[in-house]
Amino acid sequence: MSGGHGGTAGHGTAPAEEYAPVFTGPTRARLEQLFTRYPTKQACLLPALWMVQEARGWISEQAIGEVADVLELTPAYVKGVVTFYTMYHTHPVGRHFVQVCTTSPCNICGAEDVVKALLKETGCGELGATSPDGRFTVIEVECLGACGFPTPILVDDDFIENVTPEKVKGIVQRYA
Amino acid sequence: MGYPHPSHPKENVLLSKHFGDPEARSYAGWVKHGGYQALRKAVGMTREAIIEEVKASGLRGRGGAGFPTGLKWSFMPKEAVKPHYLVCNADESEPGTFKDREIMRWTPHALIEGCAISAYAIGAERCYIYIRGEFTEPWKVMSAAVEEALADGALGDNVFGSGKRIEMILHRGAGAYICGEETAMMNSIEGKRGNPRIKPPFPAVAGLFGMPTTINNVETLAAVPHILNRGAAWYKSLCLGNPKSTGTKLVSVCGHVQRPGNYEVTMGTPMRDILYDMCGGPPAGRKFKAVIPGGSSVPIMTIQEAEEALFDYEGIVEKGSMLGSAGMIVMDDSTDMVYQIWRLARFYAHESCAQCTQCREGTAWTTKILERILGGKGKQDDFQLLLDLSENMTGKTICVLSDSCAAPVVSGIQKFRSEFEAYIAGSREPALAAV
Repeated sequence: MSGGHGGTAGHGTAPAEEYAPVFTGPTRARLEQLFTRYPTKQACLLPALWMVQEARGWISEQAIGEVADVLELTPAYVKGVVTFYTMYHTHPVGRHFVQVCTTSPCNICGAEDVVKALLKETGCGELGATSPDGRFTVIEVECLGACGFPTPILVDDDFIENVTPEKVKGIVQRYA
Repeated sequence: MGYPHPSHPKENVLLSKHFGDPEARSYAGWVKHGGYQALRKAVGMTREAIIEEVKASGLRGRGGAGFPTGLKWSFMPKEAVKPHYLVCNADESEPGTFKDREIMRWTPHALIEGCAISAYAIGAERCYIYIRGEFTEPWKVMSAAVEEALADGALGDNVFGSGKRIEMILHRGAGAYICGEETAMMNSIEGKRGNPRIKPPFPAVAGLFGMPTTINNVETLAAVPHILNRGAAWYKSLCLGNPKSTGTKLVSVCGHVQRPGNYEVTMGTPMRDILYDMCGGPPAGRKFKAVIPGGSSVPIMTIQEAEEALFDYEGIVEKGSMLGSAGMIVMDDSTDMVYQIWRLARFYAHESCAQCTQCREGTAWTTKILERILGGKGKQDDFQLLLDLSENMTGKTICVLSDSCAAPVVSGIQKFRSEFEAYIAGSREPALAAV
């Protein structure tokens, strides 16, 4: 995504020495279940990374090491994959992660004004930065696949359509 | 326009008939609407008979390439010596396209049924449905639907008591447009970076995990049950233009129209009917200027070209563009074409997997040159530079991402050159800070 992840504040920032493994207990069981769905352990990489992000909010170096371990891959390989895909966070982000589509179909319907309103209302100020209260990180993304309902935004897992600058304040208030 | 909404009289609703009806989302509701009849029928047929039926229907790939579906299936080995795989491409990311999302949200069982029939027809016991990571709602709806279908014996070890085994696994993408390219998608499922593969070998020979694989788009697969239920001849008769384009097509219309949304039309419907009757024409006081008819990767049409075109694979080619995924981006006279072409180039530069030099460098430099023009620092030579770059980006790379970047640039310069000239001459205020 064009904005990048520049934030430093946010949740999930466990100090390195205290790293607690993700794949224990029920999460480990879910992973074992995944192994039955693919002929190789490597193929479980994308789902395993999603599980890490779900649990920790982002994917740290230590988490990359753990994933490499459980899937019998090298950390360098895992990192190569993590950095290829834009939805995996390699830095901590705000409690609520906001993705705004600004690709042409939304762009011609005013998406850039929605971005401006979101940056102002969340207090993020700039793309990729986390708001001082740690609540939000806002980034621009390429096509969210809802071009007929401009501007679509994704707040965490909530897909919100037809967002206009006027609606931004109300949306921001819904997320503590 | 979201669902539910009444269909327009010029639409032909087949796939979208139950969009907006919450009951159609459930297994029981879908069965009530006649769902899973086609799968029950299919498991009693031979694989060859199903493939012949689909071939005869004239169904072509709805993801963008338009390859005949039955023919694609027939490339799979006759005997399943190794495991065969079906991959359903639900990585809908082509700017302007939002139809597969609605199929998954509203009629998940239509897709599951289509996948199950297709998997059986190609000798696959396992189907992976690759859903883009951003599609959180379709993911939830599809997950629940797969569980329901499994519980009722439509999937699993013994599909409707036939002894056939069909397993369906949802695989979530993680943000990469390129994974919609079929070989990149296979790499992504295998746990790799989404780099497209060199062909040959083609997927039917060595695809997912090196095994024979067929990849089909959501809309293509969702059409299959209708063909089995009502017959190839009926499907083939859904045609208003060229007999090579049959069936119905979901059109996603976005941009500057009164009523954006999904519409389903018979192949060969005049594009004018879509633009003016279904979508209600341009916003008040404006005029249409340009249309990108098949998702952002196809050449831009002037409104005159679009108004004369018939909406099918051949009709749009005749007017200088392509049907693609049928994601129609409509632009009115308020649109700055240079700015939007730059925005598209930026999209491709961001989404390039960076394997091929022509693409990695070409998309980035195209973006920079357009930025320079928009910043008021453009030169006359930039036209030739952009066209040379585009030529080097067309037909020279592993996949067609760089060709897709070149398409709007070349057609944009051809058809809207005066808008570029205005920036270069300084008669138009720079739209971006000078670089």
